[in-house]
Amino acid sequence: MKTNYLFVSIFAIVAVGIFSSCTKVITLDLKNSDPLYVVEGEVNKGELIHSVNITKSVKFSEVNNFPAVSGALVVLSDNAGNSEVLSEVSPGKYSSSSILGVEGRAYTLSVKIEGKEFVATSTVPQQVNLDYLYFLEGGFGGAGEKVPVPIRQDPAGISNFYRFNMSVSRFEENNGWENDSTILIQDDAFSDGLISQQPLFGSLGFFMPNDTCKLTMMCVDKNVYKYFYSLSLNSPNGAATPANPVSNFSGGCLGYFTAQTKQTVTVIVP
Amino acid sequence: MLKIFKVAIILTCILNSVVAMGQSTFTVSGTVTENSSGEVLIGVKIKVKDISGVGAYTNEYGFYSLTLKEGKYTLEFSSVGLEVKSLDIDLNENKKLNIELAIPTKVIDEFVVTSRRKDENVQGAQTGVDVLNPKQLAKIPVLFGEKDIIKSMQLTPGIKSGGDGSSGFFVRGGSSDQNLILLDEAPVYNASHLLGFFSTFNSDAIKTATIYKGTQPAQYGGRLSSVLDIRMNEGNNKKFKVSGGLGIISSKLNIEGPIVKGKSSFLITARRTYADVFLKLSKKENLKSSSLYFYDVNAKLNYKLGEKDKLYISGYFGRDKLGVPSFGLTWGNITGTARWNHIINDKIFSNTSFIISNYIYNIGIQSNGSTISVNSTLQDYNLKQEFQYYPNSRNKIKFGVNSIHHSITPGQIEAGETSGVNTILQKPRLSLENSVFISNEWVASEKFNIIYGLRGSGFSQLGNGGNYYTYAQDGSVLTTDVYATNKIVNNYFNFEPRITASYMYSKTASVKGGYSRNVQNIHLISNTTGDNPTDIWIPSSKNIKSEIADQFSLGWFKNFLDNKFEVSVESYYKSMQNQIDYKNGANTLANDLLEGELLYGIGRAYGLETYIKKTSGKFTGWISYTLSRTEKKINGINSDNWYAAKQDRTHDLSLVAIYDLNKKITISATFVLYTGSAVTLPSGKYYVNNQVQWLYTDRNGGRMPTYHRMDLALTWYRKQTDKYESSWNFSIFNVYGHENAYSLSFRESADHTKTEVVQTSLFKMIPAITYNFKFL
Repeated sequence: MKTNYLFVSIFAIVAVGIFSSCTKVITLDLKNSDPLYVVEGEVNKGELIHSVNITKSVKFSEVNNFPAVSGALVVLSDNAGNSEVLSEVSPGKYSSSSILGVEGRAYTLSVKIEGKEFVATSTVPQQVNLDYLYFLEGGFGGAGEKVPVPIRQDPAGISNFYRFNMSVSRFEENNGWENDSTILIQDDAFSDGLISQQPLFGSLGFFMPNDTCKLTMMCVDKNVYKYFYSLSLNSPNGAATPANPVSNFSGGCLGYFTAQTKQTVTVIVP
Repeated sequence: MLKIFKVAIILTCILNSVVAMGQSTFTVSGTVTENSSGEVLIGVKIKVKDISGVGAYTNEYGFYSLTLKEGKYTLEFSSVGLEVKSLDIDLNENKKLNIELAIPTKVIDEFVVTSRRKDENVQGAQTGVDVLNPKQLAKIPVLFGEKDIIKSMQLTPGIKSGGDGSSGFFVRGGSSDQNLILLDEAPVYNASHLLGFFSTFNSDAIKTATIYKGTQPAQYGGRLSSVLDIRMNEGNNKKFKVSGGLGIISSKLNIEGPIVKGKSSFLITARRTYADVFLKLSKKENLKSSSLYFYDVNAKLNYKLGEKDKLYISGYFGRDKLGVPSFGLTWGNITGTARWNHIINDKIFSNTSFIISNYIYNIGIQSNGSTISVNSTLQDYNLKQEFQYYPNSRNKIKFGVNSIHHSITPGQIEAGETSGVNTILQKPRLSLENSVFISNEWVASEKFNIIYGLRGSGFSQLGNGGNYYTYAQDGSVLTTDVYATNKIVNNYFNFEPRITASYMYSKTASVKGGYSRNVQNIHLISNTTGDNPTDIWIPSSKNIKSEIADQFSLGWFKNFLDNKFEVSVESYYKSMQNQIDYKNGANTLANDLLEGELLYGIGRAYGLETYIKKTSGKFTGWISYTLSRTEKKINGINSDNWYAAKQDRTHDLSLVAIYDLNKKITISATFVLYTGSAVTLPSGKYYVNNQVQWLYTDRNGGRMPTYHRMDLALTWYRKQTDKYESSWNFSIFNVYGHENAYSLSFRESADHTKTEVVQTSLFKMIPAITYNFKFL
């Protein structure tokens, strides 16, 4: 439960509302750091093909064009003795073909580029089913405004961590899919063993009847959750001191490697 | 340092005996009060006109004691804004002399702007101290016209504002939790209202506020950087009085009067804001049904039990409420102080205080038809015994003991059955803080004054039947132990020597220097921008060691043109041990293993404070400029290198100008300019999770834009009658509407070619109007 975040957002809403706060674009003298490697890898339960993207960071002042990194030696292995060298399917995109994602199994991703090596390990956690997607009316919103609530039975006695991707196709606007840009994560620190009812409230805001909501729920391990939690703190109303998220990679690259379960539902908002 | 301290004690003893060997001595003692209200007067100077450099000051309860050789003397009693009273005495026996000082005329009273006795800044041995009187602040422009002692204090050197929307302040490089804020001796744990827009102190209820930013007297302890000692009014014991103010954002009422005339009195001051009235005007549906307000009540009772005993009971109750549909947040402080003054004899004054401090917050969330409540309580019981001994006219000794029991329950969760959240109750964290102190204020010669003291402070974390952890380097739990309730988990003991001295090398100039050590054993862990009511205090533990600060300060003080102008230059160097920071990505909310998320290191702060003040005439005011640096070196942050602390400000300039146009109209202006706070800014960007993310390299490696602002005010005193007086106050906050950055965010420009920096600011120009009235 992200009460803190909730609280801070409310503070922001209220402060913005009352005190005629204003925003403007300013010029700030920013330092430029050397480019760093960014590795993003995913192993999904039940799949054989897992992809790894490798890019580089750019200067703050540059265009959002992140160079792909080719020619890396990318090795995926698991603790059941399987190992595979990933092939580069397109610049910066590497793919496996024979390693199966299995619940409870630990996977290690090793990336070698220009004399550097980045290694991360992640374990596919126990799958928790997304039972159904409920739409909660009321709360902050006005009439008809709804917030999605992923309903699931959290298993008791173990720590579970969840991550979500959410998108909407608005009925009224008919503009196609629009992705939520917020980092949507939940854990069971305060709801262990219960039917979870934490709503997802992100950049998409409220949903209206007849909108189509596509939600992917991933069960992730603790370190991956920590990565996304620390990434979420960098939101404007988050921590006073932003920082790079806590990566599960050793060796000094950016990004994360997750072994996870994945479940997607598409629901028309009632 | 301890050696010097011992030598000083021995020297004093020798000197004391030399003084005592001559002819017989007698003591004159008593209480000084203000004649129209009967309020005791703090810090009244008693000058022995016949012997230069000899005198006394009244203490916090208006008591003074002066021991002199047998003879005839003229005593002069003087205090800010009051008529000087001279008395001839023939001291041939111990005498009791209660004095009343009068306000010269009503009009002049309002025009007094000197904050101290004329030459006090040059004379006293105390370094880095400022006494603020709420009456003087009345003319300084403030946000929403709400007089605020903490905000106005930030216009003086060495005290820095936490920025717009923050009541937090930084003293000589300390963080805001390193200030000890006392209201009638009770520590106030969260001194902000409305998320930091206002401070908890209603200036109508305040008699004086003293801030010690340099060497703190030995009777204070528990925080590293400063003491803000606020004393409430007692209430008029002669006449019944009602006064108040109506403002755009708040209104207040003050009622005081005698219970038994001349013997006992009461005071009640209440204030309520109505910022949420404006919310109703909003077009946004969810803002309309929101609430946002605070109220607070100050009350005080005092009773003269006899010639030698006086009892004071005072309290504060404040609550802030913030609510939007299905979410509510309440927080606030309660303090209570019961004090018993006893004059043991004409040379020994005793005060016993029993103090309660309480701070709570409560978050209520509606979920699926039931309520989730997150609540936290901090509860202190505090017992203090202090003696003041006046052996002769050159020495004033204070000694005493203090014991505080802290009980802190961090955010626990109580949830309804269908809420989808578990009830998680937390055991309170218990600790005991004990201290003993002794100090002497010694007038060594007419030119040389010295205050030295020693404080011994002990801190014990006590068991609560729950788990106590230690952590490995990576934050994982190393050991888990269970301690029974009130069993000692760990102890810390520290000596805190304090010494400060002044040498007056001419009648109008002096140099002062000081050294002090301060220790802090309860720490605020905060990870958010601004003041967050849900930040938690945690005690020193197996993992968190006592924070220690050593401060050296040196200053030069000079008055010009018959004390019309005061000039001072002070410098300080402070080194801090066992400073606390948190790891990147730390979860500070309701985290049982919070201490595993912390990092430790050292800090240092140094600076130069300059101050030019005009204290009398039609035009008064000051210029204050501070050049300083505050840095931290924390293991695990910025590759263990020194880096700027959040509160580091290279330049900090304040200008205050007050001009009395005539007897009815006063205009004033303030201007502040300071280097933006040190913040962490991106040094690049990358793409992850289908989004652009910012790349950070150094913590606090960047700067917010420079802050500057000018405020104006006009006070108009209406016609006075015997029964009624009133005034209007008009003010404009941020006159030229400069948008000062509150926070920075980053986004892709509309043409997708670059990334833009977007600043959010809270206040553009804000006009305000307040009507103040008084029934006499």
